[in-house]
Parts: sequence; C-alpha cells; structure tokens
Amino acid sequence: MAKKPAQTNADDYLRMYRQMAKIRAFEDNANRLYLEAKMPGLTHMYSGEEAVAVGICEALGSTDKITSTHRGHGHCMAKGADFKQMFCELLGKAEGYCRGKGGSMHIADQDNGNLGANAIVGGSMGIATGAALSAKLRGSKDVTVCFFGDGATAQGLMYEVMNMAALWKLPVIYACENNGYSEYTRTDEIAAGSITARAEAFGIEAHKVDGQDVLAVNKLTTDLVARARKGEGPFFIELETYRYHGHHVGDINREYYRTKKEEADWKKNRDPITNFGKWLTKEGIASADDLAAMDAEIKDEAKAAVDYALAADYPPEEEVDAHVFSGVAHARPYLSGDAA
Amino acid sequence: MGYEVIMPALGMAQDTGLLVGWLKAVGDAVASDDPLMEVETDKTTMEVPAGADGFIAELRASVGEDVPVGQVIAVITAEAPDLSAAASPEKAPEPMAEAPTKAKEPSTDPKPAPASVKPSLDLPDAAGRILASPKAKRLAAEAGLDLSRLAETGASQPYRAADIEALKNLPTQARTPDMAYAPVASHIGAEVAADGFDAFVERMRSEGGVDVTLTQTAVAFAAAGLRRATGAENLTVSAMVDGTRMTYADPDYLRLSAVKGVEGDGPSDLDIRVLDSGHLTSVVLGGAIQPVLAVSRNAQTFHLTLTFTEGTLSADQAIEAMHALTRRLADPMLALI
Amino acid sequence: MSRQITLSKAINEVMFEEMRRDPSVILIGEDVAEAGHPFKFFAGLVEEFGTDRVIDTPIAEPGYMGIAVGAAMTGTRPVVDLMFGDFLYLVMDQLCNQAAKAHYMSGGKLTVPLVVNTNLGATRRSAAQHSQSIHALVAHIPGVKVVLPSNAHDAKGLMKTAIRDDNPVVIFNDKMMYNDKAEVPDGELLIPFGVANVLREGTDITLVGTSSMVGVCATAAEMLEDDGISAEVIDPRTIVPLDEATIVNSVKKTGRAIVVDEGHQSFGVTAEIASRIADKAFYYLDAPVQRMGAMDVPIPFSPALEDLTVPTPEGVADRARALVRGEI
Repeated sequence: MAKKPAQTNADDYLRMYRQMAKIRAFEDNANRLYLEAKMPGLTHMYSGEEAVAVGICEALGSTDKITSTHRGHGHCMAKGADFKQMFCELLGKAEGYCRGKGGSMHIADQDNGNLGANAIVGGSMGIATGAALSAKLRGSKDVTVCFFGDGATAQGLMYEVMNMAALWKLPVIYACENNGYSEYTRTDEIAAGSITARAEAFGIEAHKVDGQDVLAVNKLTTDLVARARKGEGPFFIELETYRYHGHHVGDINREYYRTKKEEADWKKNRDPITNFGKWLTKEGIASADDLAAMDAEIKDEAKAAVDYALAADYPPEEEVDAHVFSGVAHARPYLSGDAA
Repeated sequence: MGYEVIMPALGMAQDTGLLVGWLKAVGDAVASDDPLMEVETDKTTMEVPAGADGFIAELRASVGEDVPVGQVIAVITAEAPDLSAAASPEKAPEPMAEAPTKAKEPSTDPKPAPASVKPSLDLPDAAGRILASPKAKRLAAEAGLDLSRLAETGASQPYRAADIEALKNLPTQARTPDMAYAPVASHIGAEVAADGFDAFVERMRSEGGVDVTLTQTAVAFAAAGLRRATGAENLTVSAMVDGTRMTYADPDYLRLSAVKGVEGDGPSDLDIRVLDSGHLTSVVLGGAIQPVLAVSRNAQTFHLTLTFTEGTLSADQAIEAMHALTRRLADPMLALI
Repeated sequence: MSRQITLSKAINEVMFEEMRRDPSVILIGEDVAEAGHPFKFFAGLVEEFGTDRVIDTPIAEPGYMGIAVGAAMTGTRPVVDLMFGDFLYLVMDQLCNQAAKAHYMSGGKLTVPLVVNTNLGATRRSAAQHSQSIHALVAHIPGVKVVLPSNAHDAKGLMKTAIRDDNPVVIFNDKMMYNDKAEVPDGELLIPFGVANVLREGTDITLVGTSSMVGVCATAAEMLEDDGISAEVIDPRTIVPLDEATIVNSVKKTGRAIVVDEGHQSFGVTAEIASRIADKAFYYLDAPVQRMGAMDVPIPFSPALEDLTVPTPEGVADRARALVRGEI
C-alpha cells in the first residue's frame, strides 16, 4: 500500500538515491552488453530520466499498477524489480521475468504491479486505463500510472482513453515523460500546441514538473496518488526530462537531430542523480563517501547479476509453444492436432 | 480442302499413335512449327507440329484415342473456319490449354450440375501417368492390384475408389505389364576346345592356300545353327570387323573363304562379336534388339555366349542353334564335309 | 427445462446468468446499457447490474478494447461488445498486439480473460463496411480463441465457456441469425471448445460448414438426399481450437469434402480446413477437396449483387453432386 510521504524520512531519500543509481548502473551494463554483442537485439536506454520513474514509483505501493514503454527498464526497476531477473530477461534466459519470451521491450513484473512494457508507442494507454477501471469496479484503492513519452501523445488511443477516464473518474495518472525527442525528431516538430492542454481539454487536471528533480516529482505524485485513491482522478503530469542516449543503443550518430553541446549541458547541469546526491550531502543525510560507497556496492551488485545472467540457461526448447494460452501447456498440439 | 494432318509414324514398328492431347482448338490460328498435339508411342510422348500455317478447321480424333498411323486427324485451312457451322456433333475435343478452367467457379454458380453419368475430365498431364484419386491408389495398393490394367481396359481416368471394384473383377493376366518395357535377357554359354579349329585353319592354309579367319567361321557356322533352329529362309548376320559393321546375307551358303560381307547398318538376325584379340574370356551383352553372340578365346578354349530375349528367339531355338554352332566349331572339317 | 428461444435471447441469458454467477464479469461497449444494444441482446442488464458493470462507452473501439485488456489483466472478466465485426479492423492493435500476446510475452504471468462479442455475415443489405466475415484474420493470431456459433443453443453454451476461459476469445455470431430460434436449455449450458457438432451423418460426402454456413450445408444435405447422395454435415463450432479429428475422420469415411465458410475464400478458413484434410486424410480422398467462401470482392450493397457473393444451399448441393459424380 501507499508508503508514507517519502520526504519525511531520510531512509526514503536514500532509497530514492539508491533506486536511481541502480537504474543508471543497470543501463550502463545493458549498454555495454549491447556494445560487446552479448545481448540479442537492441534496447532503449532510460539513463537521464531516472528521477521520473523513481519519483513516481516511490509514491506507489506494490499493488498499485504501472504500464511501461519500450524505454522501460527504469520503470521496472523503480517498481521493485531485481537485477538478476531483469538481466536474465534482457539476455533471453529462462530465469528472466518473462522466461526470456519478452526481452527488453516487454518486461512485465506482475508481482510488483508492472503490467508490462510495450513496444507499440502509446499501446499501453488502454491497458493502464482498464486497470484503473478494474480497480474502481473491484473497490480496490489501487492507482495506475501510465508511463508514455511525448511521441505517444500523437496516438489517437490516448484521447479515446483520457475521454473515458475523465468520464468515469478513474484512478489513473498519465505520466508523459517529455524527453524532447520523438524517436529521431524534435518533439516540437511533431506536437502542435501544449501537451498539458490536451488533457485539460477533457477536464483532466494536468501538471508540469521538472522531471530531473526526484523530490518534486515524488511530492507531486504522492499528492495526486492520494487524491486518485479518493476518486478525484484522473490526472496528467508532463515531466520535463532528457534521455542521455539516442533513441536506442544503436543510435550513435545523432547530431543531425540533437547537438552534443545540448547533451553535455543536461549531463553536467541537470543530472538527476548527481544533483540529488549534492542535496543529500548538503542536507547532511549522507556524506559524499556514503554515496560513493553506495555507488560502488550497486556497481558490484549489477556486475554480479550480469555475470549470473550471462552464465544462466536459455529456456528449454519445449517452452516455445508454452504460454500461448493460459491453461494450455503446449499450443501446437492444441491448435493443430500435431503433437509437434 | 485444307492441309490434312495425319497421325505420324514416330517409332519403329508403330501401327497406331495414342492421342494424348490437343494443344490447339478448332478456330485457333497455327503456324507450321506450332505444336498441335501430343502423341504417345513406345512409351514416350512427343509434341507434333502442325505442319502448315493457317487455322484449325477440324479435329477428327479425341483425346485418348489410339489412331492408326497415316489416318487424317486434323485439317488446317488458310481461312478461319465458320465455327457456328463447324460445331462438332459428337467428338468435341477440348483444347488442353482450357482444361483447367473447367473447374467450377466458386460459390454461386446458378446452373445445375450437368447430369452426365460418365464424366470425362480433360487431364492435361496424363501422359505416361495413371491418374487416380489418393483413395483409389491406396485401395489398389492394399489389394495388390495394378491400376495400369484399368488403363488397358480403356476406363477413363482419373480412377476413383469405385473403379477398384472393376479392377478386382478383371481376369488375372499372364504377364506382368512391365515385362514388355524392360525385357529380361537370357544367356546361353558354351565352351569349345580350339584344337579342331586350329588344325582346320592350318590345313586350309597348307592344302588349299587360303586363310580362314575365326570371324568367317563363326559367322557362317552361327548362321547355319540359327537356320537349323528357326527354319528361316533368309538370314542376315552382322559382325564388327576392324571397327566396321559388316552384314552377311546367308553366309552359311558360302564357302568360308568367300564369307566377306558388306558394310552397312541394316537389320540383322544375329550380331556376332569376335573377341579373339584380347584377354576377354566371356561377355554378356544386353539391351540389343537382336540376339548377340560373343566369341572369345582363352588359350585352347573358345568361350561362346548367346544373349537373346524372349520374342526374338525361344529358349529351345537358342539352345538348338548353339548346339549346332558348337558342334561345327569343335570340328570344322567334319562340318564342311 | 428447454424451450425455443432466439439467439439474441440466448446471449441475453448468458449475460444474466454469468454476471449473477461471477461479479467480476462486466460488459463494455457502445450502447450496451440503457439501449440494450441495437440488436437488443443486452436488454435489462443495466437495470439489474448497474452502470458499473454494464458500461456504455463513447464510439471509441480501440479505446474501450484497450481498457478491457487492462481490466482483464487486473481481476475482471470483460465482455466487450463490438457492434459489427467490421470494427475489428479498428481494434487490431489492442486485440492482436496486446491481448493476444500478453500471456506469452510475460512468460505466463499476465492473463487476459476477455470475450469479444461480435458478428459476421452478409445479405443484410448493409454494404461493404457492415457485412464482412473476418474471423479468419483473428484466427490467424496465436493467443486468441475464435468461436463461431451456428444456432441459439450453441451460442449460449459457447459464450458461457468463453466467459469462463482465461484467454481472449472472440465470438462471431451470424447477424442474420439473431432472431432464429432453437431449443435451448434454461440455465447452465457449457459447450467445450474444440468439439465439433456432427449435425447429420452421411457416407458419400462431408460438408464442413461454419457459422452462417452450417444452415446452408444442412439445407444442401437435404437437397442431396433427394438425389440419393448421403452427406455428412459438420459444424466445428470453434475454429481456434479446431476439432480436426472429427473432420478428418469424417472425410476418411466419405472420401470427399466441401468446406464452406462465409469469410472471403482466399487465404481463409476454407483454405485452412481444406489443407488439414489434404494433410491428414490424403490417402482417403477420392476427389479434390472443394472450398466455398465469400467471393473475393468487397460486399456490394445491391441485393442483386450481394446475393451472388455468398455460398448458397443450391451452390453447395451442385458442387457436391459434381464431386460425387466424379465431375471434378
């Protein structure tokens, strides 16, 4: 259930720092796995946006739900996932969250309320809204947060479901991670008008917040979650943030749409982890040495998880037609009469 | 009257040609080299060109019909025929190219199914194959029945399961159909001491001043043996001499030294291979149309092998011919006396 | 007790009985509440279950389909009404990319127990965007079950099974059949998926018909009886999963088969079933397997044209006669 407001507790601050550092460490390792050709496929880095996922998810309880995006590792980790199962999933191993069937773009962790990342931009907006409808109908107090990027605001589904969420006063928070780029295009080239005004047109209360400030994000979300539980939803938040990498790990040469100077400026001046670390030190909650020790510990933990995942087993071949249907062990004989 | 297309003679000893399919329809324009029909003979199928430019005015034979060689089966005219008048009353062969479209259009054909009791499907690729439904084939195989026997009765293809009953009721047959296409060769071997022949050759040289060769001797004696066995009036024997094929007409009627033969590719009743210059001791030659006699020599022994197929010689005839030949070769002098 | 009721009434009964039995069952779609749906099969539900469980939506098919997927993942069992099967094209991402794949992509963690209630069928003079039979599109997607009831009885038994299934299930009723009556038991009736119904036994030919084409095949079989041709009529009832064994065994017996389905003939249900027959009963076939589907044209409005596009009993009987007589 809902935690106490985070800012009243130094442990919660340190936990937020730890969660952001874990996301960064996860992505650094994932990027290296890609570059070393040890990871099948490719992936989309969350680095730079950690304060969004952590600020929001630290305001949620484990039975609250989230839906995630193709850039979803941060959401998954912030909602409580662990390194080992995530790295295993990234590498297609049997011990992954989805037994290797989903991979980077489809990590789901139902035990922690993560209904899954989605490789269709905007594809999870209906699912998030439906989870909120379900919570309302079942009388549960759970809130659902729908993560999506600025690019997804171009999808018609968003307007359909915001309309219904507003009509039915659903406990859903639409969290638009505006990192300024819609894949390889500046957002202001694809989005007319104001993003928050889109929600306001449906009578949905909309907020804009600095997505690099984990405390600001957490404070706003904590407030909105509480109100949503009381039936005052839905809400909309636009979180101004930045992705350090390209659209995906292979998007290396990107100066045609984004300057290196701009990237350097965000990293130097607006890094959510560095800045929060400075604040923790200034407030006397942790020393620089404490934080450095925590960073080192997290790096070791991530490294150990990577090594574990690299050595882990792939799923057995007979699982290829498992999980097609619930209640059906193997789909092929079920569908064709052929016992494969 | 236009150009008359006849059933051509495409093989040796061919009396009829099986019309496998028409490649043109009445009214179609054709060029001389255009394939007009497919004809099966000697178990091969060939496309036969039209032979004249013009238009197909008539097709006089039906697919599946066995047409005597030389019979007119189509007419090609310079002018396009008047099709309204030319509608063939009974035989209306379908051009093969249109056959596949006979399959009904899907779903809503409002016309009732034709009430024909004996459907005949035009099956463009029937050449050389027995067409039958998978079920019919399975039933035939399970019953150990040969579907090609149904084909011999002229029953129309493809065969269905119901046709298997007819096949079961056919009288049992003496020979396996495949035997006709892949005849099995028979062989008769013999050994003859060479000393009688050697003495004869020496004596002819010293006493008569003539050189008699093994080939001359074999040709003459084999012809005599064959004539004795078959009672034939005229006999032609062939042999390879120094790489040239020679034919000998009734050589057994000549003096040995006069057995010379003429070069030629004409048919022979017996082909003789004399292999006395190497180390071959026996040969079995198959696949030839006429019997083949191979003669080789190993030291003081002649080895003879007569290879023949049922249809050219009976076993009894072959044995008798070989007896006569070997008796003569063992003692040529006696034979000549 | 069993009585004659319409297919619409059968759907209505299912919803009442299942919503009473299981409070997690909800109904969501356009005009399903007070309006009770244009075909009236949801009449009375909102009065008993309220607007929380009988949910009228805006005209936003992708939106409410997506919402149903999320609701299904989190403890409810939505029945989603798509007023016309043609609207499936609007919801393809939510149905095929989300609902169908969630269980698999999550390695079995997420389940999506939802039912889509929609329809198929032409000849209602509704033209090209309200007359399509596109169940084959859905059947092509692994992870979705596809149900094709052919009468009120089966509509009830199959829909109840669908609501209790933990997977996405799409039910296509023939929209021309909503007012057709059949003997239907009062109360519980569960028909398992993947079990075909043999309407009529025969020895000369197997007619496999789905949904609207089951009646067409049954009528054709009666016509054939007059010609002394004994036709077996099989209704698979569900095509995912498909009762392949019943179909194959029937064709092994008769040696001939026509597969009739109202979807477009090319690349559709008839092709799939015909190929399975060819695959599993090849050595028992005494004639080529025939397929009869909707003509491969958009469904035209003019009755004079529309009726040409759909298989008829006469057409099926003609084809069957030709097959039995060896004309094909």
